[in-house]
Amino acid sequence: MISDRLIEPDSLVIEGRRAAVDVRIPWYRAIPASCIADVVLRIDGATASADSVLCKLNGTERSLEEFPTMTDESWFTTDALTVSGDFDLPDAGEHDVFVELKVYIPYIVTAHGVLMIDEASEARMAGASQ
Amino acid sequence: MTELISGAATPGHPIQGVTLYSFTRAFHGRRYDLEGLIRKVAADGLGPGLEIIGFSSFRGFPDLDDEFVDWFRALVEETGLVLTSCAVNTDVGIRRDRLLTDDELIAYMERQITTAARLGFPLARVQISLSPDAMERLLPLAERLDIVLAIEIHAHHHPHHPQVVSLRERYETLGSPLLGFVADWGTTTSGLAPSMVEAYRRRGASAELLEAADQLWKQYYAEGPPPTEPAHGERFGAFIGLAAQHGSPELGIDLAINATGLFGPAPVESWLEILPWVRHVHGKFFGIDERGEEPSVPVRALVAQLVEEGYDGAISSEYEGWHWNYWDDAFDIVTAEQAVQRDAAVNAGSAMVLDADQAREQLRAHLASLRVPG
Repeated sequence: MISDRLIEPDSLVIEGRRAAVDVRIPWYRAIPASCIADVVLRIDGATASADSVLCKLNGTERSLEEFPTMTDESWFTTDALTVSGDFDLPDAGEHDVFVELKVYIPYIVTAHGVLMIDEASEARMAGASQ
Repeated sequence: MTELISGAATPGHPIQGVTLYSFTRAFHGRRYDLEGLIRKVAADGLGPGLEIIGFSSFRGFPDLDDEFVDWFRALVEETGLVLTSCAVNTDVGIRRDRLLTDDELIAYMERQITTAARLGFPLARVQISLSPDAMERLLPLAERLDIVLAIEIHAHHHPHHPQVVSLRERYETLGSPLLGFVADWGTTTSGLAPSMVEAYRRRGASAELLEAADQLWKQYYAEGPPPTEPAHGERFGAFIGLAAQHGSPELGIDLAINATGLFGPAPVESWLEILPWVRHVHGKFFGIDERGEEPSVPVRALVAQLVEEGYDGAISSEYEGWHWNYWDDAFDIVTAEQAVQRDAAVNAGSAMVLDADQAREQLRAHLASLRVPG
């Protein structure tokens, strides 16, 4: 739906072994955090291991496995989910950033269960240091 | 206060309005915040009617504090807009282990409906996964809050779909003006939108695939809307198959969702059956062509129908071409579509209501009365 904005332009921040990028919701409305199914972050072809991925939502960093039970917290329409992971990156220069995001759409139930959308996007940007 | 009216219709005067959903890309892209968007709607004369989706526009919805509610109501009053509908969502799938139970869903809906009323909305748009029993259970709350609950009829559903028929039958039994439908014009389209076809072309769809999709849609249009859920499923699968057959399997699901879920093939006349229960209208559309007309939604016939049937409620212009059209300005497109609506109303011997005071009075009367066939 709004997959062209999945990666916030120029949002890459590199701090030591951690790299973070802002991810935008590809939908027209807020969804409960419990509907965040998965995020994959890849930089220059290397994928952050799932256990190193953290997502900052409403000011708090969380691991992906915390989301399924968070029915009372929302990811709002205009907010970014700041997704970070472990990488070995030189700070300097530009990087190829790839994000894949899977979210459930809680009011659409199909014959296969609650609809899950799967959006992916790539962008090239310079990494800022914090 | 409610009033039952029976008898023949006098010409209707639909109230012009818009839903902020039309400007999703502007809001999501942080070009306008909520206040800026409301002021823009007022300044551009896209009201007086204003519809808002709770979960889209209100941070923290439905848990809004009094300070925010007061701020919102003051802003609406200052801008001279008239609240028509707050769209709320039937989020039955918020848990990962199971769907909400009926009791949980009722409680979830009650919170949203209560907030919609606090914000000043006279109507809450609810979604079709609510059963007739659920609507009946929500009626006492609607009566306490004096708010209309209207289930949206949106493609692939249509006025003769079994779920809609069972809702209508329950409404007839209960006879309350506080229960009804929102008619979404995407239910009764006349073709796929040229802007969507162009977007698929840009994404790599071949001319053969686009021609085949157009032909298949026209075949379904000739056959009429899917009478059952399995029939809908077959059509959904057919569009997926078509994309695979023509070398673009990656577009299949998207094409199927859009061709069956945005472009409903029901005839305009099919609304007549349920018009007494239509409390609000989504003037769904996808674009305006170089002639100044909507090429895939019969806007003129739909407005004429509302006038002829005495409809005095609001029409929210609901531009949805932004799903794929990243290149045109939504404000210009909505402005152009509302011009078509106004012209159509005049051609039908009436006029759209643009004056806020008149709209407020008329909407109150419309929502408090029920024109039963008689």
